[in-house]
Amino acid sequence: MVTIYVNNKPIICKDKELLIKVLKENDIFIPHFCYHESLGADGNCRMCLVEIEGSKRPQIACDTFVYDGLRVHTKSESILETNKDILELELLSHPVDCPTCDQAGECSLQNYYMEYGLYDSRVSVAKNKKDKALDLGSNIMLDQERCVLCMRCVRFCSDITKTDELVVMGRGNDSYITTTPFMRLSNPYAMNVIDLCPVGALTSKDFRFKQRVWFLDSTQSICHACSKNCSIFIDHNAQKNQNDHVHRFRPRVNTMVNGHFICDEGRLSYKKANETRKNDFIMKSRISTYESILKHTKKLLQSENAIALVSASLSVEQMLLVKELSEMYLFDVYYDYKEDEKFGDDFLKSSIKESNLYTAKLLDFKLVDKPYEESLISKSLILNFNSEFISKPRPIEMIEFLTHEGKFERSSSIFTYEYFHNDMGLLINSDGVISSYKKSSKVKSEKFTLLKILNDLLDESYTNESIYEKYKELFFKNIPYSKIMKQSQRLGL
Amino acid sequence: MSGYTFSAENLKEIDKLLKRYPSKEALTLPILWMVQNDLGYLSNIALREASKILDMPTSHFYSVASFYTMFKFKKSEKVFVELCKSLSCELNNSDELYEYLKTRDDIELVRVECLGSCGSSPMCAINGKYHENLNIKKLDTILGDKDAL
Repeated sequence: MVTIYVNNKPIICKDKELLIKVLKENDIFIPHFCYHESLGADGNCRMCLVEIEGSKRPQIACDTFVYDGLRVHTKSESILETNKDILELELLSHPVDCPTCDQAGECSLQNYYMEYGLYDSRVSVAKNKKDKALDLGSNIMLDQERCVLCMRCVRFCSDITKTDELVVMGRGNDSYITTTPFMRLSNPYAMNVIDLCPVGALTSKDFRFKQRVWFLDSTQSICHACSKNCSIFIDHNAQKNQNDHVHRFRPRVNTMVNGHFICDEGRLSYKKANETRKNDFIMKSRISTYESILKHTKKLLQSENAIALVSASLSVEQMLLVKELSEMYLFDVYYDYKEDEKFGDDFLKSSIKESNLYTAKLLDFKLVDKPYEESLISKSLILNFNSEFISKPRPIEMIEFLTHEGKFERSSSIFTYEYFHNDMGLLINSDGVISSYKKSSKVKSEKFTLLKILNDLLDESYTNESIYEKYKELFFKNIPYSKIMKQSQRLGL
Repeated sequence: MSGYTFSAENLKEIDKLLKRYPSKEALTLPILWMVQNDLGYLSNIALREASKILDMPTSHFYSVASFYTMFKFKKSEKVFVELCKSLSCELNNSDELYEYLKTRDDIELVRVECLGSCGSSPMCAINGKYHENLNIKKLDTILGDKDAL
């Protein structure tokens, strides 16, 4: 450990650490375009120049390694002047089309201009014209005029995905980013370049012109598209007189799970959150009320011989309450899952599509197989907890707990409950890491959560925390709930 | 489309260069020259072959080649004129030559940085051959004699 001084304040950090990393970790404002934690330094944008005592000229923070006693200034008059000049160069040929740019509100150029710029343009000659609205493939649109040539996207394609679709062509003022001739941008992680792009050059075809980012609320959540459980932000809002609408998923940095990225399929799975069931309770193919269907279910549970099928994507708490219910009414709980070898890879995509299979196994639920089919014959009630593998061998009483449209709309009784984007819970991924997803405080729930429905069936009043705490010693290595709420924890396989 | 193969002579040269330089990136320009000298331009198929030989992505060759003015990505039957735009030539009225050359549609014109012939400016290279102390009349004569080019 060494001590460095930034703007005369001491900071203790690891020896030989990259200066820009130390500054960012200590929340010291340092403008930059090309440096990114996941891609490392490139040193091409020159935006992160800092003043170092003893050096004649300003130095870039992304190519300076700290040593004991290093004295850095990021706010001195001369370095502010330098930063302003560099920014002016970056903006020389920028079209300044912020009113129609989707990046506005989360754009580094805008932020730095407010921080360092605030000058009038001195450019009297015509700006450089380049191509706009180029469709690169994989839902990505490129505006070459907005580009600052930081090469984050190029480095992502060469270093992370190793697919080399993007390339810088030309020289100097005329250089531009494009796809390698005869190639399209096509890899399962391509849309990450949209988040990497610090300006509005790369935008998502799926999101562009839909929303202004400052009207969006972000909720910390977990992607449910496979069992990798990548951390995400759900960006959503409610338009006037309309229900809450999810506009996009964005990766959320979580070094224990997904690093900085998510796959395109997971990113686009936000659409499923907007296709949930309307808030209705169905009993014998008629719209009913919550109370009457609850009564009906309790009566059936007492009189009939039941079997349950759960989706292996239910949260830890939901599964625990299903377990409680099964112990109260003595029925077996089964689960099933889908394995898609084509989908899986060794990066962020798992071939198992259910996001909480680990817990289903942990709680000793049984895998659907022959005994399940055989035992169905003697049963008179099927409980389906959102499993898509449900089948109905013959006319039989069926109670379903669903988030989306079910297969047996006309013949079963249905509880509609809140999908994960409007709920909170814990999930354990295929590597045995337990993480939490949160509920937005701004969204008014229209549906009941599965936890509330199960509590009512049990005549209990467990919260997410209390049901987890009850079983934490038995199943979860005694990891406290509050710790998981702060950060993912490794349970181990 | 048929493939592209580097001649045995070129492959031998590549092997030799691989030993000479510490990194294989150093072979980018030599290999681009090999292709251009052979085909007259850089074809996608040839660049893909080059990327296989050096085990580097095709994008790298495109990126490097597009940096320079002398590499071409399209086959052209036209005469290739590289007109110097640097200081000495500029002072000796290369702009006038440029305005003239722009009007001719039988040539492919590129303005390039100094070709190292300042003493005899203004100058240009036509199909790689230097032509010095130029004026419009002289240029016209040179370009008129297609067989001599």
